[in-house]
Amino acid sequence: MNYTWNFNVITEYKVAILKGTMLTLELTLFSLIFGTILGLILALAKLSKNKFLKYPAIIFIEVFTGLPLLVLLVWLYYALPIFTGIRISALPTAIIGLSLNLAGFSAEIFRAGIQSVPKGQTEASLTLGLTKFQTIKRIIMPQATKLIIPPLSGRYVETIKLTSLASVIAVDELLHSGQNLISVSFRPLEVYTTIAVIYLIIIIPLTLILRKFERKY
Amino acid sequence: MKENIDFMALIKVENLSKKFDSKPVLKKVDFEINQGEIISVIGPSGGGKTTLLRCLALLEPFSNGKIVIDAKFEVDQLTTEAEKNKLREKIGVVFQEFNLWPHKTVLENLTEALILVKKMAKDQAIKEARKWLAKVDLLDKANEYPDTLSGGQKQRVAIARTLAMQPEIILLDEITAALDPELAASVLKIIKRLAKEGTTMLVVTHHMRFAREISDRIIFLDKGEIVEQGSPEVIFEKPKKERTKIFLSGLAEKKQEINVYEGYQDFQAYHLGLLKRVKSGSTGYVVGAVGDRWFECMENTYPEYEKLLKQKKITWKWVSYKVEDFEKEVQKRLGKQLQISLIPKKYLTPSNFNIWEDTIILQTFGQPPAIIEIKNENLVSGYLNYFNLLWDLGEKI
Repeated sequence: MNYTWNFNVITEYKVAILKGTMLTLELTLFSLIFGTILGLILALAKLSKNKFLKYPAIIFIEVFTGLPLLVLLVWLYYALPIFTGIRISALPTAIIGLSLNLAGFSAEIFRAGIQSVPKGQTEASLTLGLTKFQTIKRIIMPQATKLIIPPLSGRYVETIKLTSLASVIAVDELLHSGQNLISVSFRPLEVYTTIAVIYLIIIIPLTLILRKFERKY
Repeated sequence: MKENIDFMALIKVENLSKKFDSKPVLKKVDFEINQGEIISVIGPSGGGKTTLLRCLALLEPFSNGKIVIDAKFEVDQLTTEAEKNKLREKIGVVFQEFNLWPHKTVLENLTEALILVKKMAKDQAIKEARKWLAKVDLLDKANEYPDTLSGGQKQRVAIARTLAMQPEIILLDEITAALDPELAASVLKIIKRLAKEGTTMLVVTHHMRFAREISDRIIFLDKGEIVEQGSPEVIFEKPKKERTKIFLSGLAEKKQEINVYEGYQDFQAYHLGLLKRVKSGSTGYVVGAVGDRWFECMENTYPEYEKLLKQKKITWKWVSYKVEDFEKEVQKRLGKQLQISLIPKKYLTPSNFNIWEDTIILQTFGQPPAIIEIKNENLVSGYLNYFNLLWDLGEKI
């Protein structure tokens, strides 16, 4: 191959790449927080005996695990404003889309973990006078965590990768800022390679940390 | 105005009915539990005993009727979860499966509710918890996790956990059903101690002797209804209702079962079947007899027998008066799984016997050999005592 690699473009535009990386991290952080909280709420709603909580939760989970994230993002960004007249800017839209997607998947992970704790554990707790909330917090969740952490950390890593999809609605995250860079520098090979390496730099240490965390439980 | 103050029931069950889908499991159950009273609920499986207990524990909703606690708190179909939650503190439950929390130490299992429900300060809760652990003779296990305890110890911790909340009544659901007889004894001892102290209890049990020993009143529940209730003497000796009589006589018959097997094939098949039936990791007790030819009678099926022993990690404790080269070889192969106690010849038994779980096996090694199998709880414990006596007399090799 006769191609002459020239990484000058990267050093020249390092601020743009750094900004893109920061935005990817920001997108990830908020999506993980909102998605996890919403997922837990959905899981508890699905396990509830109250049908006004249970069935909406089931529908919600089915919709957002069934819908491809790319389609969801595009729909939220382009179709929603036409239906409702509400226009949300790109970054919040991406956070909402990623959160909804993670919420759907993590809800099922939480539900499976919670259901794996034998019913007798809850009954013992209730008969001793603990409230339902105390029972979930002190008795169920600590035991369910063991089963929840491995699949949930897998899902977290997946969510980081999915942030790249936000580029299609022009969120200036890592991939999108890279694409911008290519249009001014005409150096796609260098830029895409750098982006790939940055993703790995973010994901590999995180995977290792999560794995260590899993082993602790 | 006449008031029944002295007859104030701690718990009054009125007209309690429950259906699963459309199948009735409790039909208009009516009874009271008074302060200091011990009531045992007996009856066939599926007769509604556990469901009744779960309704009283406010864990199970019911279709009709009500439960009145302390003559002032009424629980019916409309009672909310929050209201039930406040009342549950008054009613302690000990479950068949213990339901200890595995992620908390024994001590934490007790302090949890003391801190969260009784609002005790942490050090006060610890002091209180230790007091109750001492009561069930388990203070030395305070900092261990439940997984390290035996079944009997777990159940005693569960009892202490319930007692520590000082409920007005304790409901016990088949608390020894998941335990071996020896372990069950330690649990029953604690319950008898509580009975003497005047603890109000409702006991669901299969253990008739125990029910008879501790109860003030027996309730016989069958097909979801109270067929008969009365003092233990009346229920066990002079039951009025035909159904009670049938149930109690059925139990007596079930207790003993005798089977005879004759001939080489049956002999060998019986022993192999026995090993397949007993639990992995269990122990069989064998006392050899005059002219014991057991190994010969097993013929070429013996290797399979030994393989099964190894596979299921069964320990074989054997009392004998002589050990020959063949047996020594077997011992080498089985290691700790074959333990031999060599007794002096004067303690020789005229008959070989085996004890496997609930079964006594008497055998003769004539031609053909024969087995008499007896399933009888009392006989097993008697023979086990005899075995231990011989075992201790002998020299372990």
